[in-house]
Amino acid sequence: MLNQQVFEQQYEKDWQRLDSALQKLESRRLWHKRASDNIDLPTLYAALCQQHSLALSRGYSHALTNRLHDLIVRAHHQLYKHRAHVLEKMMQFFGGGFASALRAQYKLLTVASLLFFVPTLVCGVLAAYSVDFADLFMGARQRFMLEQMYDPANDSIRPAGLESQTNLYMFGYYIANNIGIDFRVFASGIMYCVGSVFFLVFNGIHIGAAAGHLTALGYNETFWGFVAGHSAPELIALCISGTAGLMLGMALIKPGRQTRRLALTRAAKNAVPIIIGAGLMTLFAAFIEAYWSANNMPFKIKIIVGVALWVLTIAYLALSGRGKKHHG
Amino acid sequence: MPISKAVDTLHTVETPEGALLQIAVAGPVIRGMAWLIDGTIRTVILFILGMIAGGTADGADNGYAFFGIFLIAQFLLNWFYSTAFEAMTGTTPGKKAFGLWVVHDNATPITLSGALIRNFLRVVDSLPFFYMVGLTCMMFDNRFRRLGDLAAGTLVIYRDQAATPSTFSHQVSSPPPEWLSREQRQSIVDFAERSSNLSAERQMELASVLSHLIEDNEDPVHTLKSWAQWILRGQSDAQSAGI
Repeated sequence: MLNQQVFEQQYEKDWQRLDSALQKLESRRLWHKRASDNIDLPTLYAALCQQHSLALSRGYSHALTNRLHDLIVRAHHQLYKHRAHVLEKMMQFFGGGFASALRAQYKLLTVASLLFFVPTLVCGVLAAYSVDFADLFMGARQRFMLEQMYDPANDSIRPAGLESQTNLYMFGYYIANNIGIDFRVFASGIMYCVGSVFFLVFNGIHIGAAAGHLTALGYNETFWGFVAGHSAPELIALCISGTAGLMLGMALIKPGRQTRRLALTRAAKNAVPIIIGAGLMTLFAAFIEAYWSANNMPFKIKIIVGVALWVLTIAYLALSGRGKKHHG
Repeated sequence: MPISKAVDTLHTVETPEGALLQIAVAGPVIRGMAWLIDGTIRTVILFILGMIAGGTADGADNGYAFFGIFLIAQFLLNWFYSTAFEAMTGTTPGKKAFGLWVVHDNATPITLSGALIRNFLRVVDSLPFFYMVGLTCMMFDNRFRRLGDLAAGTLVIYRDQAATPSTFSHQVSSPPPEWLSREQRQSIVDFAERSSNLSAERQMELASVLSHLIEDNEDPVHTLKSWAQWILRGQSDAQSAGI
C-alpha cells in the first residue's frame, strides 16, 4: 500500500491542474466562458473521484480527504451547471413550447376556466337583474367607485384617485397588481388547490358583478370600450395561472404511484413554463390596458380589436407548436 | 456514531461517478438572518427609488411617470430578486454573507426553473405571518425544507471553507503498533495535523487519553507524532526531505 506522501506526490500535479481550471471557470463571467476551458474537466474529475475513494478506504488523513472532497464538490458544481441558450429557449417557448405545455393540461385548464367563467356569468346576470345582487357581490362602496369610474360624463377612465395619471404610471400599476395576482393564484394552489380555486371564483364573482351592473346602467361604451382590448390576454392568463396552481394541488391530492413530494416536484417543474407564459400574457395585457384601452378611439374599433385579440389568443394557444415534438 | 448521525445536519449525496458528497443543510435561524439582509437591501433600493420618484413629481401631467417605474421595480424586487440571484449565482447577497448556497437535492447547481418555484412559493410559506407555514414545514423535514424547497427539489446548504493542505511534519518517524485499526491510525494523523493549532498542554491532555496504547509513557505527544509521521510519509522520508 502506498503511504500518503507517495500518493500525494503521484497526483499533486493533476489536482493543481484541476484547481486552476476550476478557478478559471468560477471567476469568469457567464459570457466569457469558452468550451475549451473545461476540455479535460470530466477526465480529471472522474480520476479525482476514484482517488478520493482510495484515500478514504486507505484511511489517509482528513486534511487530504477534505481537500479532495472540496475539489470534487467544486468540479461537480461546474460539470453539472445547466448551460442555457437563452435565445434558443425563448424561441422554442414562444414558438409552441408554452402552448403545448398548456395543452398537455387541458383537463385542469377546463376546470380552471369553468371555476372562473361560471361565477362570472352567473354573477353578471344576477347583478344586471338587480342592484341588490351587485351590492351583495362587491359591496356598495365598491359599486359606487365603479360607477364613478365608468361614468360616461368623465373624460378618462382610470381607477378612482388615479384619473390624471400618465400611461407609464398605469403600466407599472397594472403590472404590479395583475401579474402579482397571477403568481399568487399559482403559488396558493399548493394548499391542495384551495388557494387557486378561491382566487378564481372570487375574481369571477367580482368581475362578473362589475360587468353585469355597469351594463345594466347603460355604461356600455365606457365599460366595454375600456375592457375589450385587454380582456382576452388578461382573463385567459388568469385561468392559465389557475391551471398551474391546480397542477401543484392535484399532485398532492392525487400523486399516483409516487410519493407526494416527488409528484409535487415534478408537477412544479411542468408548471413553470405555464406560469411564466401566463405572466407574460398579463404583461402584454397591462401594456394594452395602459396604452390602448383608455384612448378615445371609436367604440366599434375598440370592440373589433378586443374580439380579434380573443380569436388570436385562443388560436395561438390552440394551434402553436402542434405537429412538433417538444421536450422539457 | 448512530446518535450523532441522527442529530447531524450532514447529508450524503452520491454522484453518478460514485463520489460521496457531504452537504451540510442550513437551519431556519441562519436562513432567517440571511432573509433579513436581503430584505434590508430591497428596502434600501426601494427607498432610494421612492426618493427619486418623490423628487421628480411636480404635480404636472408627467409628474408621476417615475412612480410607474417605482411600481415596476417594486414588483420585480418582490418576485424576482431572489429568483434572479439564485439562478445566476446560486445564492443571494444575504445568503452569501452567511456562506449559504442553494442547490438541487442531488447537489447540482440550482436552475432557473428551480429558483422560480422556490421563490414564488414564498407567498404560501410566509403565511399567515413570519413564515409560519415555512417554519412548520421545516420542523417536520430532516433537511429543513420549506414548501418552496419541497416543490422545487432544492436545499439551502453551507458552502465549505476551502480545505487547507496540511503542513505537519515531525523529525522522528517510528512504526506504530501493527494492531491499530484504520480509524485509530486516522485519528492519530488527525491529532498530529491539528497539533499546530493546539497548545502544548492541550496536546499533552489529548495524548494522555491514549496512554494505554503507548508503552513508553514519557512523552506521549512525541510518540504519537512520530507514528503519524510514519503513517503519512513512511520510514525514511523525514530524513531525505531534509526537515
